[in-house]
Amino acid sequence: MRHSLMAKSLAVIGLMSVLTSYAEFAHAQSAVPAADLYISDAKRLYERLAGVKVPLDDVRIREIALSLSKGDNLEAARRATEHPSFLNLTVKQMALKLSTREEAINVPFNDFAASFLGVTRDRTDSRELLFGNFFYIADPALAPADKVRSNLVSDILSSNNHYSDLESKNYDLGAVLKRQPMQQIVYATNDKDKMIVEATVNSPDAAGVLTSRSFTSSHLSAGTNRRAVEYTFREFLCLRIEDWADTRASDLRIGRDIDRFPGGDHNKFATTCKGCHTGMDGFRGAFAKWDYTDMPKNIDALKGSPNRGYNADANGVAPKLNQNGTVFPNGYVTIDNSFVNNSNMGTNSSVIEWRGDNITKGNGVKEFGKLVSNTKRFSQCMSKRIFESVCRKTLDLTSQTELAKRYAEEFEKQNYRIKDMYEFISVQPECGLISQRGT
Amino acid sequence: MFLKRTLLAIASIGLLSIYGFNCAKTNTPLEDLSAFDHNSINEFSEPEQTMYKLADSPVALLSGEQVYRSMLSVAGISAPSNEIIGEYNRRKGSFATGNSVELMNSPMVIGMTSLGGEICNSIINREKPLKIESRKYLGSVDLSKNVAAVTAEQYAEIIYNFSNYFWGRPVTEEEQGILNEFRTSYETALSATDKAAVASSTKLVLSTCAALISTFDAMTY
Repeated sequence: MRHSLMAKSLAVIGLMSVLTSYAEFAHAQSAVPAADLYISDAKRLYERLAGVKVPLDDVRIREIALSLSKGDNLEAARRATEHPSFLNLTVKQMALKLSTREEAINVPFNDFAASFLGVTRDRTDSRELLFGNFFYIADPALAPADKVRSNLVSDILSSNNHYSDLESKNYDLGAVLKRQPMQQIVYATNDKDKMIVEATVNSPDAAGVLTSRSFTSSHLSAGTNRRAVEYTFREFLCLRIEDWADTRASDLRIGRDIDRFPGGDHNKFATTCKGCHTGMDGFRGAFAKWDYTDMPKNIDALKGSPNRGYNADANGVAPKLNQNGTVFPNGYVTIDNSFVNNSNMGTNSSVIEWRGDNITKGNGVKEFGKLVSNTKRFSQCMSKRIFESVCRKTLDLTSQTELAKRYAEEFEKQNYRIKDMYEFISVQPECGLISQRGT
Repeated sequence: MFLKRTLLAIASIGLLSIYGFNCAKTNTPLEDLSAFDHNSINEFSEPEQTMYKLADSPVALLSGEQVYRSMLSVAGISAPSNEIIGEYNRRKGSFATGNSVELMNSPMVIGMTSLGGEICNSIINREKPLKIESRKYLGSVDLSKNVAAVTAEQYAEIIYNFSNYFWGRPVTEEEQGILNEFRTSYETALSATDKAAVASSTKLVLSTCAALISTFDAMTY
């Protein structure tokens, strides 16, 4: 009897759903009163920016609709971004996707995402995400240590405890995060009993999220540090390695671990391997003094420290940069954290549009981050990320060049503020969240 | 047991929606604004307008956390119960990890209905003791009596309330009719003892609520 009921329920309710969808579709084609459109648009705009569905009696819908009716679309978007979920969901998910190698949103909240949220909330210049000396943790007055694990060494630098606690305990992330001025690294010493005591010192080469625990654990753990360059381009310039590979550039910086005669064929190296390695190896010197084992480590700054997993050569360079030196002994040997820009010619030059005082070389991650964030491509890429996050459409930087250019100019005009750009893009006609009204 | 089966069955709403209309736009303008003070519409200036180009935004899937937060949001729950949190944690593995509609699948829909059931339980527990005029969703349904005491008008009222307050759209005639059929089937299937039990009315409301909180609207924005 009960099975029969279930079967009937299934059929009946399934049919209901079908008919409902038909009815909705048909209704969408019909004429709609203006006031209803404002409410409908307001709800859609609000939900896309907030990242959650909101009940119809949410007072902010009416306020947003009112702004729309007055033609003040930007004010409407501003009202929408006041919803806590704008930061806690929409921006968080965008940041999480950039923070790890998996590029997934179902990873725990982390220090990378915290900085991203903080910079968005505080409406600061987002370029500092790639070179700023800061990080975000919870304000202890709002998230006390007895509820959220907050030890700088064990819960923030050596693990993700602090950030995962904030998320799992349902803290309003956008409200509790507080900016801290100096990035830290763990520096160990021996006490009088020869026991290792861990404390922190200022990071000598802080570079925003590029030296965050999440980014370094994803891209500086093991490997050869090339991945950090690859993913900086991938996440912040929206360029996959194959997009910026250039076989015409110099191979002087390519490491000794790369075979110049793969399968006995130098031509293969010259036409394929070299294209990616000239760019990556040129830049990877920036990360030469960084490594990740349990925590981000600036090796040079940890000389003499009995840190866990500490490993460096005489120049303070991570040995992995010069590993497998017998593959091609005449390859480049990294002795410092200098880098050269081998991606400044041909198509790369016009696609990336390097800008700044010195676009050909530099030292360390901070200068690398500054170089990358000053490109026109960074502005286009961040606009693309925001457009796709809120409009849920694809912005192809290759084919939609005019739109990409316009957005990049607007982003720069707004001093690279992510929140402002969200608001701007969400009300643009091409985003499609607001009905266009004409006479 | 019965309720769990009911919830599973109701999950089919979403499934059928998805496979039948996965590309349909849901930017339907609201035809019912009863939640608003209609007098306030006068605040909206009405410039001369002779044409509209309706918004053109594609359907995007809500990620697992977005579904969870959305359900809490539309149900007006700021502090979820341990049961809701537990159900979310049990089900979130089946929820979407991105925003592409291609990620939709059956376990996700079933999980959402199950989560919706816990949320609806919370709504019922919250509103059950309230006076009729203070209720938002349950209207004048008397849950201290059995299902036979729920009139057709009262049932129509809660269906309307759930649809309107959850998703900002009125219930359609078709939905109303189908849920009425569901009610008939439900009551027919109950034994005399079960039908006479006070819980029978709560189960009806819970099932109806779970159905309406886990529709296509719950998965997309």
